[in-house]
Amino acid sequence: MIRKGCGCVLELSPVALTIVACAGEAPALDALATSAGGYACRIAPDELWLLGAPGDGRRLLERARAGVVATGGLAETQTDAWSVYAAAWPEAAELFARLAAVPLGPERPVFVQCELVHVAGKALALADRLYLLVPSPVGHQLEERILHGCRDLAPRRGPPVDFGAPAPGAA
Amino acid sequence: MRIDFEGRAVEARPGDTIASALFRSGVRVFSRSFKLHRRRGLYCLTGDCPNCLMTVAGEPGVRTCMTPASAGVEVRRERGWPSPERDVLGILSHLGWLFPVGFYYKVLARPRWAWPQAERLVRALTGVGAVDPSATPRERESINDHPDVLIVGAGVAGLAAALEAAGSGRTAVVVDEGVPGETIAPGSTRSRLEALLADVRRADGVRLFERAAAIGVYEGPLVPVVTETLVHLVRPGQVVVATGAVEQHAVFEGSDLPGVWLARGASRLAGVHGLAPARRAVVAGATPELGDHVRVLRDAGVEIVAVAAPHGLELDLPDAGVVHPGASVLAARGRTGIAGVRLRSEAGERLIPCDGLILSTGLVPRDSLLRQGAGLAMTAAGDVTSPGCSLAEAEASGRRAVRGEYAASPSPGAQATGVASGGVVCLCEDVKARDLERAWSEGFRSTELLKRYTTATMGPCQGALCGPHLEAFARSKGAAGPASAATTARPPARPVRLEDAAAGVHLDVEHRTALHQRHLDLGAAMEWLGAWRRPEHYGDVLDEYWAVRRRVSIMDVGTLGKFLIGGPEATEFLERIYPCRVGDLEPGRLRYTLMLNEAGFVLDDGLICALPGGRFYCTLSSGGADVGEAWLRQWREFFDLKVNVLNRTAALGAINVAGPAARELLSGLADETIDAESFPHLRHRELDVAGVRCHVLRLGFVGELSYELHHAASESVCLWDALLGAGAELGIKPCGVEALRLLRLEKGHILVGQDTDFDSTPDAIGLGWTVRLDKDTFIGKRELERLSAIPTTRRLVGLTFDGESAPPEGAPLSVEGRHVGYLTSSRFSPVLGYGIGLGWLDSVGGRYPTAVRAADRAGTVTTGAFYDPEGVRLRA
Repeated sequence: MIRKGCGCVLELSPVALTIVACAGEAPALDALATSAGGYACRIAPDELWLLGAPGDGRRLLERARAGVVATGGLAETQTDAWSVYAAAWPEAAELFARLAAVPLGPERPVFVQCELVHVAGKALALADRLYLLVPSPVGHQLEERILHGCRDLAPRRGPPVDFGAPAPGAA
Repeated sequence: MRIDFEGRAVEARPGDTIASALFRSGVRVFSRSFKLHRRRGLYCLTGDCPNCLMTVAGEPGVRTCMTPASAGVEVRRERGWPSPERDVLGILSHLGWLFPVGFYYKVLARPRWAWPQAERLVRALTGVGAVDPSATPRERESINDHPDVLIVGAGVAGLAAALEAAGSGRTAVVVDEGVPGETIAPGSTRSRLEALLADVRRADGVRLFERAAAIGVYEGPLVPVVTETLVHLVRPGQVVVATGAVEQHAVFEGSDLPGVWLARGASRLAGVHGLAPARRAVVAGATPELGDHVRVLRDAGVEIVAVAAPHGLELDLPDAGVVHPGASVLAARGRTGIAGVRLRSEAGERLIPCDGLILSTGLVPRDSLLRQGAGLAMTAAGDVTSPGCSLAEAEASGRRAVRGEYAASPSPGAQATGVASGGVVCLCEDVKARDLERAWSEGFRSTELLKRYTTATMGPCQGALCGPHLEAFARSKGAAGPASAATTARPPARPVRLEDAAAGVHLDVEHRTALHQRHLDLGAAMEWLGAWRRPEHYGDVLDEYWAVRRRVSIMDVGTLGKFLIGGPEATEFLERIYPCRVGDLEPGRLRYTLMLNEAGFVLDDGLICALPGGRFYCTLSSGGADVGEAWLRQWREFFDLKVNVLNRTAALGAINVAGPAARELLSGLADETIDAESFPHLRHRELDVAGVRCHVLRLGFVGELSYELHHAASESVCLWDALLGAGAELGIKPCGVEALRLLRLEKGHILVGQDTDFDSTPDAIGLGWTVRLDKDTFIGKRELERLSAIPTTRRLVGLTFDGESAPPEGAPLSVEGRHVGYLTSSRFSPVLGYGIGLGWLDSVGGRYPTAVRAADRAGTVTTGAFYDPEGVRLRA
């Protein structure tokens, strides 16, 4: 629980980033996770995401394709399929608890796939902030739910920010 | 501080509950009973009985004994006309014999027409508070919580458990219905509790939720905790139930009169609020607490005129003369409140005048949560497992419970004493002891059956007071085992508001395409299609329609399911998924296909586009993406093929450009030449359109020259604006879903889900040509082969209707008065000048009718497309 009166503000910022989704055989994806750069999130044994800053799109896609296409895998930019928002700790902890039933745990970084605002979403908790990802057709819903449903936390819309992982590596 | 009690100001002091403030102001009748309108006064003061339920700030059924008084709050009683003190329906309490348990199942069952009137009357005469339907709904939010330990109840045992959890480095949440200790009169218990509470407040990792109710235990365990601000959905590693015990409700004639108290409630009023519950009181009971209660009451100025206690109970009272060893209460007498108590002792029966009867006959575990969570990770501590245990025992049990050393099993608790026939067993539902007798005599011979027939235990207290009496009654009749066991405990254990039950539930998940705001800007009327919001029209459906037929239009079809499929065995995979041939599809070509289930029935439809490198781009209908993805992935696992699937639905937008001028429009915006020869029907290619990279599919769902532009969703707005701008000279219009429905119907194209049923085969809907039964295998093939040997008795047909309208969708089809099917789609066709439709038609005598009637209109059965059946226009 956030202690009121500490001057904390829940600021929700839309995040500009690149998402490259790779579908392929597990060994190829394992190799890609460590070599492609970007932030690697394992979605499934046969699916890997590479997250990067907005300008990293072409580079990540080329490396991803180089890593999986030879073995029949797929690599495509899925940036437009997801709406991504960021919030800073400690407010983000209560925010996440409002939205998701699963615990985040104390470890950082951590990547979880869970239901957010009643749709399948994902969360990436880094040391300095929490990223929430929901399918773009319901992106507005996440923002509305936070701004309306969490109004007791005095949420406000922050300026857009670029995705910035503190250090590359698999979550 | 003043509260507004039924229009008059009532003084409340700091620390007062609404109930204590009202009692101080002289209110003695707090409610009227559920059925018989008997007067009810304060009784338990622990939130366990229904007597103090009132409407507070417009909210009915509020337990005023647990609700702090706040300045200006409006409080009113819920029953009684002209006033609860003088309720004219109080006459019912003398006519109870006319309404024995279950009477309305029998007496009001015939004649049937009388029941609605009788039901209205029953509803008007019974019940408690009413919800104000004009009240503004309040939204409540929920929060998920994952402590290591959840402790329900902040008494001595619960607080000790919290300290044990903190000491072992675990996080804990402690919830209490009130403020810990606030209901306990000053004394050793309260002192110890306050000391523990101070430690808990200092402990790391322990959070204390005051005025919070744990309303149930679900699998997980999941325990919803309603606090004043949020509903916490607590999923702890362990639950410790330390909910204590409630004093046993006594059942004898007059035991529900105002002035009869459970002793802990009377002590609370006296010791905490400084109010004497009576001037002259009889105290009766058998618990070790009895002496303490007498002392607290005396300190508050109550004259104790008699103490009825069993032989051997050490009371340590200075004036032993008032003690009647071995005496028991036979009845309470009085009209508007208690005026005397009839005691029976070895010396005989005796009526003692008094205005209060304080009862401490036993303790019953408040174990509803414990029983709900049987089999889950739960332990228990304190009175709930050992009613009446000492402070030291309670503290030790709390610590043991957190260590898991205490098995959670409901205590048998105090054995309820027998019920006297005139007494009220269930205060909530006005069930008397004689009602139980009648139910038993009618064959309802177990606690569960008694509960259902009499509704005892089904009121706000959920059996906290009457449950043990039901069990005792069944045992007294010879029932054993499950027939006399406690009834099943179910959530909610405590009254819960509807807004709390719905907290955090938001079912209006609305999917929007990237062009949503553009549609709104253009004045679109939006409609729900599955989970999507789509433009139904932009103000003039007919104009949109003619734009497609005569000029050019654009339509947002970003809702289509879109998948990229690749891998060494992608072709083999799709050959098995789809009933059409896939292997012969060369890159750059596309094919319409159905998707069938294992039974050979139509699941969805869409397109397959062959890409270089053995990859495929496949589309499914709007709303089919989620099911489609699950379907593809599930079969991939089953087939164990080397195939990769990427769902591109949300990543890609799609705009359909349709109409005779579609090519002209695109030619002006594309980076390459677009003509009929280089880009014929059922082909697809990559193009830059208005600077946006598009995967362009040429097809014809609306029966005109059409191109679907699939592109990165983030560029949808740019592309849409460019198309609209460049098309202005061509008379371009955006087209909504309603125009689409008409356009595709003229072409005879089906909408899966609207024109198909769960058991529609390709043949039955006229799409048998899409199926290649000569393929080795595909999902549904075996069933289609079996079905092909049987003549169809029902098929989807086209229908035409004379006149300037069409029968409504869903209209039954008939031949000479015999029902032969129904319309699935129908519209008036502007271009044809008559009504058209699709509908399911049964064969009659082995032949399909050629003429039918629908909604009193004559219809002619047709086959194929109504408009441009040769497909000249879409192949242009």
